Amino acid sequence: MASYAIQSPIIARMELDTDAALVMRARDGDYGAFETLFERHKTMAYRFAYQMTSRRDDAEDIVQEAFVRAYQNLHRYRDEAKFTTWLLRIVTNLCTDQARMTHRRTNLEQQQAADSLDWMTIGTTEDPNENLEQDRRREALRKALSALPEHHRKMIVLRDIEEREYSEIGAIVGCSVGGAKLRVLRARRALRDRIAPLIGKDQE
Amino acid sequence: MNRKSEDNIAKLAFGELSDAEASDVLRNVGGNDEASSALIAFKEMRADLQLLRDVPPDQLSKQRLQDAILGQGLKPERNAGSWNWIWAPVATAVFAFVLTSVLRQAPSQDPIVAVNETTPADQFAMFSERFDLNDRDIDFSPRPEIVSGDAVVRVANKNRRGGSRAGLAPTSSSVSLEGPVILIEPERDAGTGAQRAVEVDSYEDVLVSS
Repeated sequence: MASYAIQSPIIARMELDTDAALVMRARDGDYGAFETLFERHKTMAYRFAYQMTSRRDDAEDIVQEAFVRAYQNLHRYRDEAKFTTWLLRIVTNLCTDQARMTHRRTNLEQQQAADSLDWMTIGTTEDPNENLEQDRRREALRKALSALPEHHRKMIVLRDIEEREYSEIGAIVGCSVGGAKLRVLRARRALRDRIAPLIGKDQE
Repeated sequence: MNRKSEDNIAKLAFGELSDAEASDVLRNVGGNDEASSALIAFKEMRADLQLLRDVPPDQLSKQRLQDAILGQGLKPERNAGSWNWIWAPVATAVFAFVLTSVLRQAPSQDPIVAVNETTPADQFAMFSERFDLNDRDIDFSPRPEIVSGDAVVRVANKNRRGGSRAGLAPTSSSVSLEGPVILIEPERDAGTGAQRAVEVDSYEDVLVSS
């Protein structure tokens, strides 16, 4: 629990706006405090959910459901944990549930979901050949990531895309720091194994 | 290339080794084509994964969230650690304390001991003169006499034959009879030799005259 030794009005205001303080106020019925938490962290949660699902609608549904569950279970939130960690844990669980429900989705549907990302065709360099190569690799990576098992995919997203610390990753997925490092290594190996054939196929 | 070597190369590519560890891995990679290819692949993977950070904008809104929350009929959950639960036992304790205090404040009256020293005839004469009664109205059972402090008062049962209490007025005696009344009977107990005592539940059943 943060101490509220007021040194100046600005510092006092900052302490009152911490995630922990907002959660406390939301628990006491201040819905506006919960809306502030939503505005502050929805993009982070959405980005993770999108990386896991590759579909905007699914990602938005997951994020909305995650915040509804967070609101419903505010009394279970332990102040010693970061709110973002707790929230991402909920999002991760929802992504896992969704992956279980849609694991039988046909390859065609998955292909369509990956191909709908028109915004990815914009290159980052002036050389059109290099842009093409970048797009090809990125497309291959996106496909390979989508095809990864959910337990590998979330480790890649948390560590190598969202750049979370291993301690937080362990708290999110429910393992030790060493366990998180091991899982990330296994996921990277699995992703590399999936990328190589795709890159080789595109280059032929 | 074994798995441990591959993991070390991945750590090197993702910048998760110390300078000393990185030097060791690079030394092993040099001259090994498979290890070199793996290192290049992991580095490219790291760079491309960074490009995947960009996502299309979301259409999440506070209104949509509020609708979803209200749609499930949710209300703010109180913190389980709040002190609201303590009011019930506290209220019970306060009530018990107040009740105990009230009971303790109830005046405890010493019982008034009445010694029956009058004869039925004496009592009849006493009451008939005062209340204008005849022997048909009065119960001739022995009537006790109350001794309270220095005053001696005579007590008679209010229950008359006929049931009506009309004519039996309370005495103007100054003796207060608010507590229980112990009537001492003149007869002595055959076994112990002590006088028998009877406790009257309510002084209202006892008429006092002095």
